[in-house]
Formats: sequence, structure tokens, C-alpha cells
Amino acid sequence: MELFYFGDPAKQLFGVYHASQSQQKSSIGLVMCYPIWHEYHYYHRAYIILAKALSLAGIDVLRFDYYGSGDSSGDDSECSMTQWCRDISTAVKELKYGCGLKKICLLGSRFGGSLAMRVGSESGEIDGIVLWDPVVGGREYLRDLRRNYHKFLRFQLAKQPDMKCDVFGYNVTEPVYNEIESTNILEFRQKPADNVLLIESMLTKHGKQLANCMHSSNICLSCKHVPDNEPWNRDSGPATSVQVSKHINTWIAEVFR
Amino acid sequence: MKEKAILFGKNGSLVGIVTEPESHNNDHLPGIILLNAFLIHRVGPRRLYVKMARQLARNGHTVLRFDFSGIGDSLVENDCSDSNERNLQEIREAMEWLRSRANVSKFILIGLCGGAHAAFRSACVDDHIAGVVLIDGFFFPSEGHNQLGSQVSNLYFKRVFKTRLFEWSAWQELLSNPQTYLSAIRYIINAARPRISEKPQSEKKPMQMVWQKLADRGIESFLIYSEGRSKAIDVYHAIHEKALNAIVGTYKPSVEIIPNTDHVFTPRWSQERLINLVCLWISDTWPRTQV
Repeated sequence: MELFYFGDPAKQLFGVYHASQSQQKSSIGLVMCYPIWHEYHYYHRAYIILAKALSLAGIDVLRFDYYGSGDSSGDDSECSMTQWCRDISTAVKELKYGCGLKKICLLGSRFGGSLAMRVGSESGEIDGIVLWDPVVGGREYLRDLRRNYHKFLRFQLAKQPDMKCDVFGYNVTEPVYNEIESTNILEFRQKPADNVLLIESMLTKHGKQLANCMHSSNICLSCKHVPDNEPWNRDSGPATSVQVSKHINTWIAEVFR
Repeated sequence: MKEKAILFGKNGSLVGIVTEPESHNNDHLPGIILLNAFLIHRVGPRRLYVKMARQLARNGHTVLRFDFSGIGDSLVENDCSDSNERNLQEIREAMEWLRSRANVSKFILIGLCGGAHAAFRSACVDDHIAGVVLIDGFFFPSEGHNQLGSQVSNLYFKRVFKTRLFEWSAWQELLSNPQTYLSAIRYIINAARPRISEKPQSEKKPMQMVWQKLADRGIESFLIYSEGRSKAIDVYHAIHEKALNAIVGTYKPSVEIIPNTDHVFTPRWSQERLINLVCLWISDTWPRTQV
């Protein structure tokens, strides 16, 4: 495990590189895209377990924090979707050229999945995408967040802040709010990747919608169900991460080796 | 302000981020260590520790926020030692790193929830600690635990029920959730219990002695509490308030209560208030050199 800062010196990103621990090293690297805001915390532990398991299986993995989040520089008031996507692209270059890899996969949970799809679609350079409980529609996502935050504050006997610019304690500016609201991962101009693995904790209508959408775009989609109850609202247990890592490892082996 | 990632401790298994001030004109200032809020990794709840560390570095302090073993990126220690003792050892290793690399000889420990507990325990035994900021901490004396527990629960239920008595949503919750009936029954039983079995004041003594020791050693303390659903403030009223009032001498820890917020200070207004309070208390207690 190697900790480092990378990218634009004025906007340094914090990354953790998990080098392949197997003699049978894969030619594919995996960049892990975190969810945003409070969901980042709920997936942090899961991402560490995943990264370690995948590096043991021979895959080079890079975890990193977006600008204005985690240990990266900047403040949440400076975030934007464009910036988050730029950060993913920077991380992709860092892993691909730093390790001399031929192919790159993205893994994204929740809104990280939506960002991974957008980066794949815009760059055309992503070979595979793993979507773990992705956010499909931005409007619905924000509506749920606002409702959950409102419930949370009421239960905690806390004073209600201005809900639009404060989501679970994060500064959500008007442009970011609008960008997320207009996001729909079923709508992309270019194919984000040839191969997509969808991992769902709860079987929802979104899985079927995604499957239909990918089928019509000639994307090879694999779906896996790892039962868990709303892991985006609490820390998911290590058992879930281990199961997810097994699915990813098998999928990479089948599709890319 | 500069930030760098470090590995330290036994076998370099602990991960931390050091935030350094732009200039080293204030080398006399204590170094600051931020301790994990329970299981939340070094960025703190809602990134609170990152914001706090940067503000403190702007004020001239070198700040280290790190993960105890088994939390965040720090490796799990398999030595089977008691986790409280291990935390104390890891705080010592963090101080050692700052002493050797950042030329800091005195330290302020800041912790929220479990971090406050670790900071308090460390201050009780380590002479290099100049001050502690204990945010919504639960720390009990080991003796009289059950008795104090019911006292804390009484204060908590009284406070929560009083706040929500006239809220329609609270009644809806009560009527729709059998669990709340149990809470209400537990409250009534707890409320009755002290009259039947309350013992004299002996339970307060252990905590008073601990605070007296900190006072005698001149360790500055700042206690901050949220007044929402957390029981930490009730622990303060049940245990620490009286113990602190009974200390002999002029020692007076600062205490601040932030109403209408939760245990991890989620609303942004409460994060800003908390960070301002901490930074102000530190700069008043350890002033910067005027250049």
C-alpha cells in the first residue's frame, strides 16, 4: 500500500495505490471512484477491503479522494461534477501510465457509479466499469437525500439548516445541485465501456432499466446480486465487500484475461 | 499550509496526514493530534477533522490526524493487547513522530466521541500533553458504573421527552413504534429507581480524583457537548460537572454546549461553530508570537 498525492499541484489529490500481490499480474488496473458526501464514509471501509482483496488477486488498484473530499486538497464548496470527472481521468492516467497497464476499469458506487459512466462515455478510454448500487437518476437521488437528512435531523433533535445548500453536513452549491439533478446514467452519447458489471444490493427497477439500456447499446452487461440492506445508509459489513470482490475478480478474469 | 501522508509506528503500520503551517515562526506552539471519532477514519465525521486541522495549521500549529490500528488505512494489530492500551501506545508513537520530525515538544489532543475518551486517558498518564479538547466524550469512572448509567439515562429521557412533548411527529412515532413504548416504560422505571436505591455521593469521587490530578499537573481542558440526541451531555451533567466544581484550586476547564445539533455535529452551521470554538480556545490558551 502506497500513499501519495498526485495531479495538478494546485489541486492535489490523495491516492492509495495497492500494487498487485500476485505473480500472475493482470494487465488491467482498477480505479475506485468513491460515492460523494456522507456516502463516502459508509463505503470507505468497504473500498479498503475490496482494494486489498483485488490486489491479492493480481490487480493493480488505485483508490483516491476527489478534490474537496477526504484527504485531498480543496473544500467541498469548490466541487463540481466536471471537477470530479476530471479527477477520475487524472487517476486513470496516474494508474495506467504509472504502472504501464494496457487496460483500465472503473469501479463506482452510488454517485461514483454515475461519474464513472460519464467519464467512460466522454473519454472512450475505459475498458470496463463496475457499478455497485449506482445512482441512476439524479433528481430521485437528491429527493431521497433531502428526505433522509430531514428525518435524520428531526430524530437527532437538531436544527434544520437550509436543506438545499447543506446535505448531511456537506456544502452543496447551486451549480452542483443542478448538475446532479439533471444526471441520468441511462442517457449517454457514447458507449461508456464495452463491458459493465452491475452489482446490486437490492433488486430494483433500475437494474432492469440499466440492463435494457445497455443491451440496446451493445454493452456486455453482467449482473450480480449481493443482498444487503441499503449499504449507502450505514457501513456495510466486511462480508459484503468480500463477496463483491469475488464477483469483480471473476468478472475481470472472464472478460479480460 | 502543506499536507503530507505519513506512515509511522511499529513497522510503519499507522497512517496519518500531517498539516504543517506555512512558516515555522511559532515553533513554541504545541503540536496537535486529532484522534479517531470512534470508527470514522482520520478525515473525521463530515470531514470535520480536515477542516479543523487546516484552520489550526493556518493558526501556526503542526497537526497530525491519524488512524488507530484497525481503523481507516492503518493495519490491524494482531497482538491481542487491550485496545485502550494499544490506543495509548499509538498516541505516544504519534507524539514521538511529531517530536522527531516537526520539532514539537508539547501536545494538544483533540477527540470526538471515542477520540475524547482516548485523549482523556492519555492526558491522565502522559506528561507531554499540555491540553485536551474533549468533544462529546463519554468517559465514566470504572466504579459505580451501573448507578451512574441509570442517572444518565434519567437525565437523557427527561431532556428528550421534554423537547419532543409538543411535537406531533414524536407522538406519531410513539404510537407507531412499539420500541418507544419500551423506552417510555424504561424511563418511568429509571425515574423511580434513584428514590429507592440511590446511594450517597461516593460514586462521584473517582472522577473527581482524576480531574484533580489533571488540575495538579496543569493540563488545560476544554469540554464541548452537543445538546441533541447524544447522551454525552447527560454524562457531563451526571458526573463531570460536580466533579469539576469540587476541584481544589483555581483550575477551571472551559465547557461549551452547542444546542440543536447531533453527536457528530452534522449541520454545517454546527461544524463551523465547533471549529471556531476549538481554534479560539487554543489560540487564547497558547497565543502565537507576534511577528
